[in-house]
Amino acid sequence: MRFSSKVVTPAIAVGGSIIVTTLILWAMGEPPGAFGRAFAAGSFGSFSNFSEMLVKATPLLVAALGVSVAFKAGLFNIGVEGQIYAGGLAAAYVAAAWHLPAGLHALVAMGAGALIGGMLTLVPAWLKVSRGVNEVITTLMVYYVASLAVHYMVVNPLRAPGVVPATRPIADTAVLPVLVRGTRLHMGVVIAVVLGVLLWFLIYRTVFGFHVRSIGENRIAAAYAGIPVSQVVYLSMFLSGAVAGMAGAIQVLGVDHRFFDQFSPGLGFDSIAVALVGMAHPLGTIFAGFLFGALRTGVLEMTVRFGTPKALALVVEGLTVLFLAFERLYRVKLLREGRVR
Amino acid sequence: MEHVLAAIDITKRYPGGVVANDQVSFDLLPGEVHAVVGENGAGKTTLMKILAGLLAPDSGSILVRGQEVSMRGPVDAYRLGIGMVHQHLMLIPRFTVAENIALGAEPRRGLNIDRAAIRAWVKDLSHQYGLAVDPDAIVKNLSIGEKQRVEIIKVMYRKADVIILDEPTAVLSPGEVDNLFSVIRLLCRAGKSVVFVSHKLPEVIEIADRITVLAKGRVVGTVSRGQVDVQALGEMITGSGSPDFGTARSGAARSVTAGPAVGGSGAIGSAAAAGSSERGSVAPGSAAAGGEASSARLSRHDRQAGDVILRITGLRARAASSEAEVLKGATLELRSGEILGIAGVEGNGQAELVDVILGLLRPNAGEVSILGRDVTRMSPRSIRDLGVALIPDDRHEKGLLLGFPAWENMMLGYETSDTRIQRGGFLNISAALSRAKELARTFNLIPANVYAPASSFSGGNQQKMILARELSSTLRLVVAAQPTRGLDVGSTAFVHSKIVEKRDAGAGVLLISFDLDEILGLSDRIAVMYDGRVVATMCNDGKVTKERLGLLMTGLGDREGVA
Repeated sequence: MRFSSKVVTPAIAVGGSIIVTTLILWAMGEPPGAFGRAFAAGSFGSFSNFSEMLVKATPLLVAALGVSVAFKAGLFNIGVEGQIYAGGLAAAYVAAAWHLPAGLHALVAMGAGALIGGMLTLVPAWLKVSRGVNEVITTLMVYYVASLAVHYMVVNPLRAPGVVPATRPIADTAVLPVLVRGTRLHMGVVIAVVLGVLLWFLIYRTVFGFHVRSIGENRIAAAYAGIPVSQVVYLSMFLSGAVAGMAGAIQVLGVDHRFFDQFSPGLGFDSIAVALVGMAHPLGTIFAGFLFGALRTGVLEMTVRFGTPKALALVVEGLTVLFLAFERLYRVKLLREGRVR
Repeated sequence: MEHVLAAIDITKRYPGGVVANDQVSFDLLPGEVHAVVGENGAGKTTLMKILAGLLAPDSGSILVRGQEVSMRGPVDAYRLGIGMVHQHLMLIPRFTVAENIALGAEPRRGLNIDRAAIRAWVKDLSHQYGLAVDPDAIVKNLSIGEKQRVEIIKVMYRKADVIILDEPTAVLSPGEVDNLFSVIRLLCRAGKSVVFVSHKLPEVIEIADRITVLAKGRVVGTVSRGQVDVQALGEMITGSGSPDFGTARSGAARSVTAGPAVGGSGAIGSAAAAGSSERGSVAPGSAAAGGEASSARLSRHDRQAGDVILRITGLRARAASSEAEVLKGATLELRSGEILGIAGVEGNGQAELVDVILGLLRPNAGEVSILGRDVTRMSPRSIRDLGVALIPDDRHEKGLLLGFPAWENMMLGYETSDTRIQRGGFLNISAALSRAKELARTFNLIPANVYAPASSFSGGNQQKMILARELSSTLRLVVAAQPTRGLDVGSTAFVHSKIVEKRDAGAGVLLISFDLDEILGLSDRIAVMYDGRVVATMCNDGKVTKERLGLLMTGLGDREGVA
């Protein structure tokens, strides 16, 4: 029951949103069939399209893993966007300014991104623990501060010569290696999947993970059971921010090879939707991340071929989240009818 | 006479094949109190939810004044004149009494809420039914009894003729119960009908015109006033050879071996347990019940009290959510091998006392020492690791992770200390599962499915889950806060036998209860709390009366025997 609802629910939501989008296309007077083919071709039509889909999905998926860790603890880290930016900039700085052996350099740069991303959550976590301030508000505020600070850094002190505001290119030693020659498919996708599996293990197979899930389910009962709630809030928020910071680092080290100002157009906010579709389960989030990646490359292909608006991807994503919300309503109805307890 | 409300052949199945109601029929006449009794999981709550429009039955029909109806929610129920007062009161704490009452059905004057109208209406009702409550008071400042009155007025405000009271006395002090009963009588005299759900059989016998007994989703029978006494009713409820609380009854029977033989061997425990929840004001069978209570005491061996387990001196603390000092210098001492009952009206510092002992609330002054160690600066974890168990007063809020499976609930709080469950921070899932299955067997968890979420179990079995995890390790101190709240007779006896077992094994037990029968039936010594202080401590030597405790609990009476 529990497992199947975790899989069936998002599947229905995604399916429903695709059907509705098809209806919208049809209403616009476009033949949906051709669109479907273009959509599929965009993500799966060739290996290069497929690899591009994976590249697009990677940062989204990693950031969503960060969101889902906080979700499991009953916390809503809405500031992932800021953590992605700060993590990306930290990684770009370490990767360009430091001199370290290949491989290790990339790891250290990613670690720097994780550290900064995690640190951004400490003030919200502290306010939550000591004053009971809602973390939705504080993480959002920290996002504004962080993204503007990062913007300042890239436009002013860390700006490399050039038309576009960006940092210096990173050292070759810090570049995440490309997996398949001729594509942009890089090591980051492997890191993302491994990270997801590790987080699954942490959350479902360790005492710490049990504590995280316990405070997410019932903070009061957890406290009465002797679980150090404050400590777990700090750690899970930090972990959430650190993973989001790594998302930015992976994008910088694997794809852009420097920090472009405003490189993440809403990546952090989209990752919240991904985590929702993944039911906040690390393994589910991996699938949801790739699904959203496929959605975006598919819609991009449609835009290239037919000139449909790029916003169509947002329509599908938005509808998916809406359908998930409907599911909650439906569950309430079932509850009322006593078909589930 | 025409029925106000009738349910005919109601059947309700939950997923997993549990038949909560099986061909249940029930009817209600104008002006009568119709009680519904039965064990936890007998289907009482399901039936009430169906009558109040909160659940739709799978089959069967509901008739309101002879007309078949189909309700799609509580709003429909209200329109038909049916209102329910839930066991867990549903009020908005920060709103005033009047605002809570009018919520959702506000009388208007232009665009504004007509507050004067509500106020006048509440005043009027207060006079008519003795439902004394100030319309301008803020709900969070009210006592439980007052809040319940607000709920009843709320139902009346929606012009209900049928009032469903789901275990209304579970949280009330004896005085408040008497109050509630006179309100119920006035309501009936005015032609209203009341459905009264309770586990406390003497109360049911006192107030009900008719009693319907449910067991395992079926109607065992309906009896009228005077046809049964507490004992006969207890036997109807448990039936013969009911498997649900088999071990519970034998456990209770062991602890009351000196009790007079009543009925078959299966009925001893339940009758004794029924006796222990007896209220003093009930005439029939109260003498017998008193005898049983003292016999339960007899089973306590006259042992010398052991070492001091818990010592509390001059404890002062604020409530977690407010600035008001709630504990005002409480002092008490608990030794190993004894049960110290804390008697008192809810809200006199008991909850805060528990929180301070467990390290969840920092006191302003005073000391709490467990086994001679000052614990006021220790974390909840390290206090628990001294061998302290908690049976919390609110299972759902403080005791369980409702959405999590039973096996995870049965390791909650022990996942760090039990080296079978974890090693080096990694969980051994199969060990935790087999431990949970073993505990489920020992404590007769029904259903014995440890994968099912805690929310799918009945109240009694949820409590078994908590007992299983809390009482299965070596313990020095057991804090039992209202351990039998909302439980039926069988489950209550089971919980009591487990607590006595731990006491006999040498643990000190701090029993906090608002039920004086429970206090008198289990405690070796009794401490009375009033206004944040322990106002009296006494040996439970059989000479302690409810009347004396009742006076002390309300701040009156002698203060002799203050230890």
